[in-house]
Amino acid sequence: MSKQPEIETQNPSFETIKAELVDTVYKLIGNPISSWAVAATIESLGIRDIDAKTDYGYEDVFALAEYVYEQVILKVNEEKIDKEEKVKLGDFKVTMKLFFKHYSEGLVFTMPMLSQIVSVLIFEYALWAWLGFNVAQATVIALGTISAFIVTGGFIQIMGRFISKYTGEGNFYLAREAIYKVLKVAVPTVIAFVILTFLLNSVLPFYPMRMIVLSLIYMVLISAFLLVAAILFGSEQRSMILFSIVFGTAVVVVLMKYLSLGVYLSQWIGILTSTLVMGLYTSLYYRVKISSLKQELIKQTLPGKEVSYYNSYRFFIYGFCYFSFLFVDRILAWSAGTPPPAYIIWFNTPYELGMDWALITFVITIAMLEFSIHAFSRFIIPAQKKVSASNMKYFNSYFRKFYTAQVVLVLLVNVVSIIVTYYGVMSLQGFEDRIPEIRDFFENPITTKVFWLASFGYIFVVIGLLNSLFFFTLNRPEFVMYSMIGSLVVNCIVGFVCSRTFGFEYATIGLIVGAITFAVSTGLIARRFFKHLDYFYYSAY
Amino acid sequence: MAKKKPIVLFGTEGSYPFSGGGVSTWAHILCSELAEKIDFYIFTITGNPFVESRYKLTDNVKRIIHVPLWGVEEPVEYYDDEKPFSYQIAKKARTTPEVVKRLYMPLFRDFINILFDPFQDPRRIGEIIYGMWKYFDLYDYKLTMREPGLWIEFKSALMNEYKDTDHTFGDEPKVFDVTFGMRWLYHFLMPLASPIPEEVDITHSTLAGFPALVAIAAKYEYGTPSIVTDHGVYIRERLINVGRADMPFFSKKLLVNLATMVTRAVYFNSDQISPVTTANKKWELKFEAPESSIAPIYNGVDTDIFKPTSKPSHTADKPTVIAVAQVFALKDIETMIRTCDIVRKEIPDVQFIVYGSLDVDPEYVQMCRDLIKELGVDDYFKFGGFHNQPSMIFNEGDISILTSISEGFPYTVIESMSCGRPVVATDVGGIKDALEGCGILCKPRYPQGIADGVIKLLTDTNLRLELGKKAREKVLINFTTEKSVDAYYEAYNKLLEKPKIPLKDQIQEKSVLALLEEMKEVNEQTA
Repeated sequence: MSKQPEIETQNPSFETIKAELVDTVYKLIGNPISSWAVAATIESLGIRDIDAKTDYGYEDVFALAEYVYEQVILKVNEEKIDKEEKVKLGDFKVTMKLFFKHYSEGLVFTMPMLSQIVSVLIFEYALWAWLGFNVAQATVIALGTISAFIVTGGFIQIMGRFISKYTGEGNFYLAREAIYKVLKVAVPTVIAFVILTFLLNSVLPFYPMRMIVLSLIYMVLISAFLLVAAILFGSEQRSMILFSIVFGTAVVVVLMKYLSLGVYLSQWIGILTSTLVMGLYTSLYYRVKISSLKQELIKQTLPGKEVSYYNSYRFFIYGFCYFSFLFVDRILAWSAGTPPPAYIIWFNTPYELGMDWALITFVITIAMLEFSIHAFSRFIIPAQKKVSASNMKYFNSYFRKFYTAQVVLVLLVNVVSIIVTYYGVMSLQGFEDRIPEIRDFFENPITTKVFWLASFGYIFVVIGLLNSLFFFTLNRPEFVMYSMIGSLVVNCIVGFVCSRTFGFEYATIGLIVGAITFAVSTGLIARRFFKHLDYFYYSAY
Repeated sequence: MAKKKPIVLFGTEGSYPFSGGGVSTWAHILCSELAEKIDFYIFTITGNPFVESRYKLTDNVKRIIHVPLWGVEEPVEYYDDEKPFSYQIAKKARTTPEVVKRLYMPLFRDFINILFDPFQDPRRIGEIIYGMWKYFDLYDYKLTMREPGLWIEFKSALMNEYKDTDHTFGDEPKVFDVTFGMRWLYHFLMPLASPIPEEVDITHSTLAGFPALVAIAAKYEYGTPSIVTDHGVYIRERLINVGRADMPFFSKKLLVNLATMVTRAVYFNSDQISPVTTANKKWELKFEAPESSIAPIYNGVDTDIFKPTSKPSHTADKPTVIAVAQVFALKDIETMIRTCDIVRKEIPDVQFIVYGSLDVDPEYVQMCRDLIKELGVDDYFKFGGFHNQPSMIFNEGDISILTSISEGFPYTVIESMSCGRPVVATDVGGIKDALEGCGILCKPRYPQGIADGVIKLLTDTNLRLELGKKAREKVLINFTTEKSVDAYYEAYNKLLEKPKIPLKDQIQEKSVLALLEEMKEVNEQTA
């Protein structure tokens, strides 16, 4: 580009309109990338070569651009001197707002569980619980519930992944397609599990066939319930889960109390009602979203089968292992101990009560993760815009500190939740004389022992989950998958040895050591992850 | 047996066949008019994967190679859809950190070097682009680009660039510039991971940008001749859009540098550069287009559809000025409204009708509506929205108007001319090529001048009719669909006559030569 204007001019009006042009260009493009960018911008303002000559006194647009570029740069430098300021990341006020918003949202997640506890306390019934169940019946239900969680665990995780990905992009049509696609594999898997279990028990009769059939019916219904609830959870329609559970529980109570249909039939209808309510709502929700956004008008397809499997297998393995991890100690505990259980796995009430008690602390703490991950997503882009690339270490160390703060916060919430839950439940001792069930609860020291052991284990599970969420957010499911597989193996081995060596309740030691493995292995990865957060952020595509 | 038709790999970005607009209309006309003579493989880059054809494709469109830059985890599923995914898994398995370090890193280093200094020898740029394409023929794109070594290389190169250059005038790069900069490279270079069908005879890109990356690779690998059509000037448009974008300085610089290096390599390696107007030439020459390769081919209009008819009843009694334009800033509707305000004072029963979408820039539309109110021209200036019979639009008026501040070679001008309706338009882009001698050209952003033109044509019936007649004649001679399509067909034939000499035998870049040597061995082992 030529540097000097070819036509020198003293015309004062030239100077005025040139100054106006400099202002306009500065307003439009700020600090210009080059005089080429200025030339293109000038042309886009309708200024042609002929105008550059007659109105501005330059040979052409490129020569005029050269002049304007230099003037704009002077302006930029003046502004820069005024604007120098210290980089400050994060905002306490915003952080607190986020904390209250997302922690309370996370707590909504605990409501379905609490509603069931309340229901049992008031009516003696819940969707799949009843104070009147004997141990054989409890075994039936527990086996059905655990197998439902484990069999659907992988699908729940994939579903969550797909739904959040597509709804995050505002694409409800593909989210629905993905739901169908997952269900198309999940439902046959549940059916296959039922058939195989039935056949296996026919060949090797672990349990009386009636028990197995009852258990499988619960398994199928709970699986359906979990799959549909997972859709609503992923779609951020969590209050609907609570509503449907309360509605389903009400159905159980009515059927039991007023129609005397018997506990099995009442609960089956209750679970089914709950599932249907959620299913109908889901269907309606997606239909409304899709039609209001007119998304069905564009032909859209999900990736092919092979690609879908490739993209999601890590999530599946993680989900399967995670739910197995949460229940394996029960299986180990209920299959150990003296005298030997009646069947290969036999429900133990004090153990289960201890685990459920501890589960309350777990769920209350998990609510924290909602905040951690939202805060992380909220701050990461603004921070990148503020920090100089030469100060990359500061960027990474800021988020390393952020991570440490989250770990401390989670621990704090966890400790508080353990104390509150412990004393909350212990305060019920005052009703021991009036309510025999409460007396039974406190009668066996195993319950309290299991509570403390499991609560301790859950602390590490939550830390592991916190780490995992960061990895998931930046698209690194493989980090979580391998950690979870390892932790499950450790849980199984340690739990097996301890439950057989020291007493059945020490299956929880497996949970603790497995959880520590999970927290430490993901923690070590998290250290590297935050040390090189810039890289992991870049490569999260 | 029917003679095998030549195959053209037709590169588009954000247009044909998945979006509407001027370029897509042109592309559809070209493909369908050459149905008997040419087969097309459409190589199309889109922002997201979920798109469907807006056109009824003719049988000669044999294949669509779709490269969605965003929104898919495994984009290879789209652009390499003829191979099973197991093939891609094998590619992934081959892509070890060691391979990336040994084979790709040297290329990437050279690429980054050019990225920070995009005005280097365009031959060099072409060779590096080819080297990268060749590498991705055997190794996985996503895994390679995810390799931490590349990230470190990019990061340090960017910082060195900042340290080494005089940055008095530039902002310091932010973390954002690095993370998003490298992400953009991942997305924008994705076309380099697409295989090129060997049977392709010619590559034709509809812009000198990313779709033409495969044209460069094809030229090196198979000696495939190439033509590029410049509707606007890609680099100029990038400079405008990126320049105005709300993003940090270094990010803008990176995007513009990337576009600059690609455009220069495309122009340098193209056998023919065909702008749709001579007005594009000055930018093309400044970005490495050899003057001898520039051969403008104008857009054409179907003169049987766009033909003069009498005005319909609803406009018959009123002097009517028609505009066809999406309502947004570059069309400068504001000036059109001010023009209307001046004209109505001279011709009280005049009406201006603007047909075109109001959805592009609602804020601008509101500003126009406010101005209409402010000037009190509500009864004279109307937004007509969408018209279901485009060929009839111009016949509703006595004349047409275009007040754009930036244009290429707009269809609206030649369509109006074809209908025998003279046009008053701003003298920007290639409008002069069309309108000279049969319309009125005005200075942009100058309502009085434009209004004078409108008044002159509306009040001087003889002049209006005479210019209308001349306009129709000019279209019949220069700007018919047939003429435009024939010019492309002729260009294709000329290119087909050229001997196909792969440029890979003349490569000088060390990193590319080393890669080719290694690839030979790997290919032998694989075989």
